Amino acid sequence: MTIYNWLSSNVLLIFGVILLFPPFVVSTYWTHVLILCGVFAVLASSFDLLAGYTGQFALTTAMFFGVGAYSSALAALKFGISPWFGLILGGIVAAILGLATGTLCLRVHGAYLSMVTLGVAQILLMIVISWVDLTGGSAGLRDIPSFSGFPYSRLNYYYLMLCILFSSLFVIRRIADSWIGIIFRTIREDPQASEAIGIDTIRYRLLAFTLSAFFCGVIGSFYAHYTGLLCPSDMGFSQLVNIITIAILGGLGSILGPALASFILTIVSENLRILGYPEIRLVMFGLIIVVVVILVPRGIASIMHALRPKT
Amino acid sequence: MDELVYIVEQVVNGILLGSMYALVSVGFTLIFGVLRIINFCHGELYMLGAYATFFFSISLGFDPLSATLLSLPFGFLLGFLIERGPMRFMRSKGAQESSFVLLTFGLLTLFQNIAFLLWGATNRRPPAIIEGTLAVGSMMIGIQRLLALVSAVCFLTILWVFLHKTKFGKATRAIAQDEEACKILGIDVDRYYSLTYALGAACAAFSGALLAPVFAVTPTAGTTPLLKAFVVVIIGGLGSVGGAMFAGVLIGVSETLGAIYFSPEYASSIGFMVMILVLIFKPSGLFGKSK
Repeated sequence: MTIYNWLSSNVLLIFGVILLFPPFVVSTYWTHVLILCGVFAVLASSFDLLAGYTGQFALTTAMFFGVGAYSSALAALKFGISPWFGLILGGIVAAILGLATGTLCLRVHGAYLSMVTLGVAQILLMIVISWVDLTGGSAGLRDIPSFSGFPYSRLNYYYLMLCILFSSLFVIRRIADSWIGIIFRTIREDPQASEAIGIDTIRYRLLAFTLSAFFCGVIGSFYAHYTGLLCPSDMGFSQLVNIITIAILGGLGSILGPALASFILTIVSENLRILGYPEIRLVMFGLIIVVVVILVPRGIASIMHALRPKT
Repeated sequence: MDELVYIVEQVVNGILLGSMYALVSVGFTLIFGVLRIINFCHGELYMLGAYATFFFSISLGFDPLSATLLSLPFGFLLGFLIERGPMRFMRSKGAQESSFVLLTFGLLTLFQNIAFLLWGATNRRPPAIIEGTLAVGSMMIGIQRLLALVSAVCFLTILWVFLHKTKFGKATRAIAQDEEACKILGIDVDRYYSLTYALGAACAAFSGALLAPVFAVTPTAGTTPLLKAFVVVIIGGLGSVGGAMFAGVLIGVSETLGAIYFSPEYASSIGFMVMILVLIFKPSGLFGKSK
């Protein structure tokens, strides 16, 4: 029984340790899949920080991701700025955009906020597609330099991804567990009451936007330099649907749930390949999402919570 | 003179397009107003409506008119099943708002892939009810587009009368205003949920059926109508049916004019810009009631 307790209360630790080893066991294709899982894990967790904690259901995660990716890629292509610096640069540019979007959304709440943020994301996407001289239009950017002084191999990039993933998750989780996280949740539960007890809600709503955008920008920059290719659909609506599906399936308000869901969902979807026809695989994938949300509406995090030993 | 004719032609086209936006959006706003769900799979209901028409006319050999009209019961039935099945089950288990968002996202993925499985990624175009163009002076207007406008106006008028004059419509609007009070007054709220969702789905499917001969349909054709519905519904005020009708036409016309005066690429973001301006100055929308 004690072993069971230990196992169930340290699911994430075990999961993290498992993640350290796969590149030695699996093929390079699977390493690539796992790297993409990591990218989505960061995106879903930062969406969670914004939506699950402050209750601002902002549909901008794909936009922040794309802006971080494009700014870092362009800095490297046009000005020869090192991709290592680009990681920070991508984060900062996305954070500034996050602050701007958040400011625009101060007067709106709930469903209205979702729709304004989607509008902002669509306008920006349109700019990226139309500004052909800078962004390459719908064809996108190619030959984005990879990280300098760092031999290009799937294995190296896998561990770089793990570094970014673990440090982002650690920071996001620490923020969420700190007094800032408590204030975020207070705002989510009742904005008016938070104002009444002296919380500067505007400041904290903007802070959530900025932080969430920063992590999306950093991982966007990583993605650009890892794949070497970037096109507008990377920040489009279907990308957004993926991120939010992962985040909600993981369970909002838990940070680690969405990260875990990213791996589980992608691995399930990849394993459905054994069914053969790719069309059937995608239909099955949609069906799984629908069935899971019906049976476990609060996401994977709620299963983890239920498994945890009662003390 | 030619330029003037061209502009008038574009305004007419804008009104035609706008009436379709209005039809899609009315369903969307109806569902939000009553069920409080942002129906992200609304565009897919539009897409499936278009495919249903294609299926009825090409595969089963119905004539184009009845194939188009059959999309209405098809959308209604599909919406009814979605609400009666997964949504009601989740509501009975006390699911939170984000779960319904995920459900509609899941249905979006599911429907897109089913369409992809059944009809492939190629453009499918059901036959128009009446082919050809109508010449008014030196203007050319596609008859199918005109027919779509007339059908949309008729449908929206019937819907408006239905919502304002019948007992069912009044109950629906009452639920949108105050659900708790309706329960106390003995209205079977669950029943109205199903019917509203089915009605909203029928609106989406019908507009898909009307527009498919003009624009053709692909499995991802639902994204644009969904984004348009967002814009239209926000400008008109969430939950306001009349507002959605007005804003739909407004956006349709400003987009076609924007395509002339700015550039076609930016035309589709004009709607979003108008939306953001409206929200900054009047967050509840032009016709919405502020809370």
